[in-house]
Amino acid sequence: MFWLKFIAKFLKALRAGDTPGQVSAGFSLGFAIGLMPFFTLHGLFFWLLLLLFNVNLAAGFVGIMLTSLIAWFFDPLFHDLGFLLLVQIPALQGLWESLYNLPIAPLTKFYNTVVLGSLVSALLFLYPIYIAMKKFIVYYRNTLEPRIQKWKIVQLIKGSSLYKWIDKLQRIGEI
Amino acid sequence: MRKNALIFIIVVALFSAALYFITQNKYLERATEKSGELIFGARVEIDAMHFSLFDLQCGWDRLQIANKDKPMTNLIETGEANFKLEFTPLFWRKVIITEMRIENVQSGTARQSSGSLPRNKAAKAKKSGVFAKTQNALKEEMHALPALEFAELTRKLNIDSLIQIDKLQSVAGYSLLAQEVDSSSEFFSAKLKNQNYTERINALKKKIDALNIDKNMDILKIQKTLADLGAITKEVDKLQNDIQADKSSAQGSFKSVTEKYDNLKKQVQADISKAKNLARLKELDTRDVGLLLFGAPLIEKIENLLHYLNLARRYFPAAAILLESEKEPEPERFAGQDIYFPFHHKFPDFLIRKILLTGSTGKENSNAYNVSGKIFGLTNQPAVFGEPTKAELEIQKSAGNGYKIRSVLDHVSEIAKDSVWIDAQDFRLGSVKLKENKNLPTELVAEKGDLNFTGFLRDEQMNLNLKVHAEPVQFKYAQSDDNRISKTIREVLDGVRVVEISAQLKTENDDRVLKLSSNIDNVLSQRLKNILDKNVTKARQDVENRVQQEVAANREKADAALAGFKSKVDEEMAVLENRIKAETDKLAAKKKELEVKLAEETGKVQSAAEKEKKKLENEAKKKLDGLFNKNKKDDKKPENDG
Repeated sequence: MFWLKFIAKFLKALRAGDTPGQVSAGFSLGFAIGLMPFFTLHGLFFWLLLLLFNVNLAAGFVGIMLTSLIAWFFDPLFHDLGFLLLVQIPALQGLWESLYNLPIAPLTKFYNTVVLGSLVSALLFLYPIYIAMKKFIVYYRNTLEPRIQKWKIVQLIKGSSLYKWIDKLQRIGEI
Repeated sequence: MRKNALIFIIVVALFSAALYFITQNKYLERATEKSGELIFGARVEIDAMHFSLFDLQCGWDRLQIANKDKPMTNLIETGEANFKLEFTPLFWRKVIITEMRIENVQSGTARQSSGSLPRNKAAKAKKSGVFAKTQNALKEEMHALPALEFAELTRKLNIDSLIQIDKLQSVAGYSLLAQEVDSSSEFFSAKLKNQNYTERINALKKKIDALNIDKNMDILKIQKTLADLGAITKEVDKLQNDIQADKSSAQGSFKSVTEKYDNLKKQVQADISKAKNLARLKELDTRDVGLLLFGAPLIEKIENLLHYLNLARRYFPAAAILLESEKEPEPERFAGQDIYFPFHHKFPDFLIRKILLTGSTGKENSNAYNVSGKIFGLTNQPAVFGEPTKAELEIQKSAGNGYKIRSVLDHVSEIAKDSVWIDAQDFRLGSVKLKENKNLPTELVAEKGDLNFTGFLRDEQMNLNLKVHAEPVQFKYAQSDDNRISKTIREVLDGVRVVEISAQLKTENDDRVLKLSSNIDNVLSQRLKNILDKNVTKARQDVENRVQQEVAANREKADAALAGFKSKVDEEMAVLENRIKAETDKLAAKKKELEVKLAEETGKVQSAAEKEKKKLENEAKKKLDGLFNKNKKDDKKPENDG
């Protein structure tokens, strides 16, 4: 129910409410959190960004949920990327060694191939995801949403007494 | 910025901190107890553990570590302890304690409840090989000393009480050999019985007797009889071979037991030496005197010291056990790989830079020691820390004696190098119990003394040196001087005012050799040697005679068994061989007779054939002559007619 509520809120945010920038920023932060192993120091940093900044939380949670479902599939790729960065590029060895000897950096477990691979992937895709999501929301609001509203199935659902009853309950809940 | 979220985060953080603050001490206490139980294999109890996150201070009011071998006593009990963790190394999950103060450290205190753990919880800890080997070597060294009951040597020696004669190799060997010979003999008899030689010879005899040679035998009959004779000969040959094989087998067995018998003869001398050793009958050596007098208490002290050294080596890597055990199993899938880079800080996983301790070895005991001192660099990774663990302890006995102990446990490299120095000056030795013996003193009373001990251990090699100087001294005896030996010993020892002992326990070619000498050795050994050596020589002769006597009794049995076996083999084989020879001779005679007969008959047949041939030739000649004459007559007739 918790996740369903966020999905409903996310669908609502797609239509109206928060700006496309807020929704897409929330979604891209959620994407980054979902992509990385759960309990890491930099993961906590992304969580703080998501919770403290005025981005759409529902979009963030949906981003986490969707990305977590598929992240395990990419773990071998993250491992390869992490191994490439940590071992196979000699120019970076000095950087990693310095980080390894810094007080806080080792707590991020950056020296783990999957952790580093997923972090770098998240950072690389963060902005493209943000831009893509923003464009999608604008397109959805201007073009897609009016068409969907005209679909007979949608009108049938919206005309049903069950939908009206749920909608009423939701309004009471929001009050 | 979302203010509500900020407040939410702060509330959650505060709540977590409060929850941690309330439960941390109990949690840490239990976690530390469990870790300690894992290391020591016995119950560990901590009272009132406290930890402060703000200044990283930690400590407890009381710690009890039960002795695994004696669950109702504590191996270590401490009073209040306080220590501070270093902040920076925690970022790398390294626990470094700058200074630890432990008060009232005690050992061997009584417990109110049993300190044993359920069986599966107890850690497997075994005595280090080097210490176990050394203890065994010390025991052997003491056991190898000459018989201490000198008085016994002056009387008739009860050898059977000193050695188990029947366990000596030659004595037992002759007995076993006799059994083996009997067994071989029985086996030989059974084999002969199974082969049915007598029956087989009787059957052959019948067959041979049945071979009738008549005067009127024709050549065909002779040839048939010869064929029968050939078949019988084959049977005889087979029987002979079987008998020969059994004879060889019996001779092989006899040879084997004879060789054993010869070896046993050589063993007797070795057994006599062994018996003398078992009876501990060796001439008194100067070095034995020191061991006889002071060996027992000295070895007891060395064993105590080895016990503590063993404990130090056993529990030295304690933190390593702890840290290993706390490692969580890595997830199998997609856990990634940790890549390690050069670590520039010299932070081992666990290190106590300095321990300040005070305590005692047991309050109840009047011989209790008060201990105070410092330990530096106690770590689970000496190689990372790069420095050995050093300890400086001062032990003050309630009687006033004080010892200074210094040790360096160097486990920085792969080969452990441990050194210990103990020094005590002007200490009151008091009464020292010596080995219980009828003739020797049982107690040494010394007023003051100096002690110096150095011990160096390198992996399994050791070199321990002890020097003791005590004066003035007095020897006390449990029994009166009722014989010449005890009188001599007392005469010598009564004049001794200073005792100087020097002992060395050293590894030589993987053996532990204990050398002990004292200033009394020479004078006492010279005086005793004259008396003892005569008695020892006599006792040695008694042992030799006793062994020879026992050997002789057993050897006679073996001799009888061997002779019986030999005569049995020879007799039974001779009977069989004679019988078979008789039959073979008979068979050969018949064969010869038949062959003669055959030759005669063949000659007869040949001469008859010759006669017949001549007769036929004559007849043919006559016929040819007749035919020739008739033709001549026929040729003459026409001439007359013409």
